[in-house]
Amino acid sequence: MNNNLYQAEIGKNYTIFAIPDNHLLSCIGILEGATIKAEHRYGIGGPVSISLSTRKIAIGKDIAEKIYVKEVN
Amino acid sequence: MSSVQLQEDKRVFDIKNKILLMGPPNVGKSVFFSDFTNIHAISSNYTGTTVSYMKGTYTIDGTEYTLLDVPGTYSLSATSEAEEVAIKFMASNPEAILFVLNAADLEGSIKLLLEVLEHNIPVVAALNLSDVAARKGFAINVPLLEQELGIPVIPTVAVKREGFDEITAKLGEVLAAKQETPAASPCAACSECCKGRAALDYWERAREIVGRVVKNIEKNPSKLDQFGDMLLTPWPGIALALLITLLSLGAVVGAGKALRSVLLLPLVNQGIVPLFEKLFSSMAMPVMLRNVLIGQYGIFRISFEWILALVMPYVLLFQLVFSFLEDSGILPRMAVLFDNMMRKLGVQGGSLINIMLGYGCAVPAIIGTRAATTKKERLMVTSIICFAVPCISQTGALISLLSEFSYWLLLAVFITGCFVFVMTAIISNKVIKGSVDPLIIEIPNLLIPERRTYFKKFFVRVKQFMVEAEGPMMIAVVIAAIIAETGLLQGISGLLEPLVAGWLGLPPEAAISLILGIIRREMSVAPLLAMDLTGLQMYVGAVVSLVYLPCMSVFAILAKEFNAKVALAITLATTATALLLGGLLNHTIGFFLRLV
Repeated sequence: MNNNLYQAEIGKNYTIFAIPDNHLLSCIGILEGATIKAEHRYGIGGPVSISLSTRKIAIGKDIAEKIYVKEVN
Repeated sequence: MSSVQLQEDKRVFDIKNKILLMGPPNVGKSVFFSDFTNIHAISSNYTGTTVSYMKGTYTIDGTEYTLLDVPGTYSLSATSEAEEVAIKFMASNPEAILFVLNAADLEGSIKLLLEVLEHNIPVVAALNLSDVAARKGFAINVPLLEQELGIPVIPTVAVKREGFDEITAKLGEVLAAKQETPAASPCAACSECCKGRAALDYWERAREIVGRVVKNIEKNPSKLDQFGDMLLTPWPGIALALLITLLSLGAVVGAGKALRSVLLLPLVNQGIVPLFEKLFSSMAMPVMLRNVLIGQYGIFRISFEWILALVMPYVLLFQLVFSFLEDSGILPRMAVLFDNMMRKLGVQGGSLINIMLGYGCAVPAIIGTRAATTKKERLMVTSIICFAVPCISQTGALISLLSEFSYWLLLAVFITGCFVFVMTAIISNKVIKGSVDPLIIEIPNLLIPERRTYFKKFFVRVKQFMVEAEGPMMIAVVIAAIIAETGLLQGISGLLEPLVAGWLGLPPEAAISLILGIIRREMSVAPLLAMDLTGLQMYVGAVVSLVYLPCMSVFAILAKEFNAKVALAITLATTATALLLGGLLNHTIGFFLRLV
């Protein structure tokens, strides 16, 4: 199922297949093809936190909604 | 100490015998730099402490080199100021690079190292945070890593200085070898990373290398990692974060008050001041001079009463507590937890770190906003700091003033401060054009600050405060003594009476607060302590001084970091708001009090 990262189900693994053009995202390793795990979502417009290999990264709602992910089975 | 701003001083590129200190953000480069050069760079456990670069002398085998602490970047693609500087440095013929790898996140740092290696400069790598990696169950095969990368790799625990001698020795070897076989000319054209294929290639190669050299030993997460994760969950993370904030506040207020009343006040009132009273009374001098020296507002009385007994205890306690928060990695977690609220205000959670830094002193906080990705965010955060965030000296003075009367009054001023905070954010969000980027933040591992680094930082910060604040504070004290003891104050008070007494409802001599507040923020509060004010007067005086114009040092940093126009605009806006708000509060609350 395709979704944006903000709607990702917490605790599941996803592969990123589309990201907006943002320098910081790609530098931190959030690239097309990368596999991530959705860790937490913070209510009332808060960010989503993910883990990407050994890193933990929090991504604001406004940009998480533009990152498209596919669930890894 | 030479901390240089990014834009200025192109000469640094021409320095001979350079060694670059590079690595991803928040990997402990500053600790390496401090130890090798004996110049203290402030290190913290979050991204972007080094927003300007620093240089210092590093002696290897008797030869002096200039070690340059290059700001940490995630890549070398010249899309941010820091990255541009890093690339320029690499193209300026450095002798070698000391690259710091993050053992706890090898993939990210190897990716950056691969980019660096393209430039054909001799590199020695330090595998730092190897203790955290071990804690997390990563076993790294160092010889294999050296082979994969083709450069020497030395495991280090920077905060404990483990592996530092080996680094210097290895750099010496590499530099000696370079003498014999000059390296190929550096290529400065590799700036394709982070764009499409190139970035992916680096990441892929980094992942392959990590796959070969790191063995994951299944390990139960340590207590510290469990706590770090807990702090990151919405529940109980937010409750824990609030608890930590409350405990920190309690520690600063409680211990600061204790230090003041048990140690410093008796020392000043029964020790130092009587000593000077005796000294001056034994000397023949005009009455006015005697008053300026040791009268009610005499220099040798108030400099100790205000600086030593009023400001110092809280500065010491704040630095002790805040350095712990910084080094532990709690602050970025708060940035994540409270991003939703900050986002509603038009900024993002990451700016919370700068704002909290501002509760110590506005100057480093405003410099820290350089890390902001847009101009608008920088201006908004700076405005919030100038309008609504009292520095610790001022907070200390406010605590002393208000808690004598009632802790409720302290709470009332705190809530008023929050209100001003929100209003400043909302208004500046409307007024300032542009946009603010959403939060993207790497969350560091939780660390227990290592004692030596922690105390060194504490002492450096306190020393810095003494060096930077002592001068302006003494100027304020001398001005206070002169205008109060020579009768000048009566004249000024008469002039400002309609404003101070009529509008703000304070005693006319409180005009001195408005004058001293121009120089230092706490100096606008200190004179109020001896004025025997009512609760309402204390509240109004506190609010005015809270919002009132930032001190001279802040004005200077605003003019330097932005321009004179911004500095002037913020000064005028804060002053006007402070006086307007103070008067309104005085009249409305006064009105209701008369009704009761």
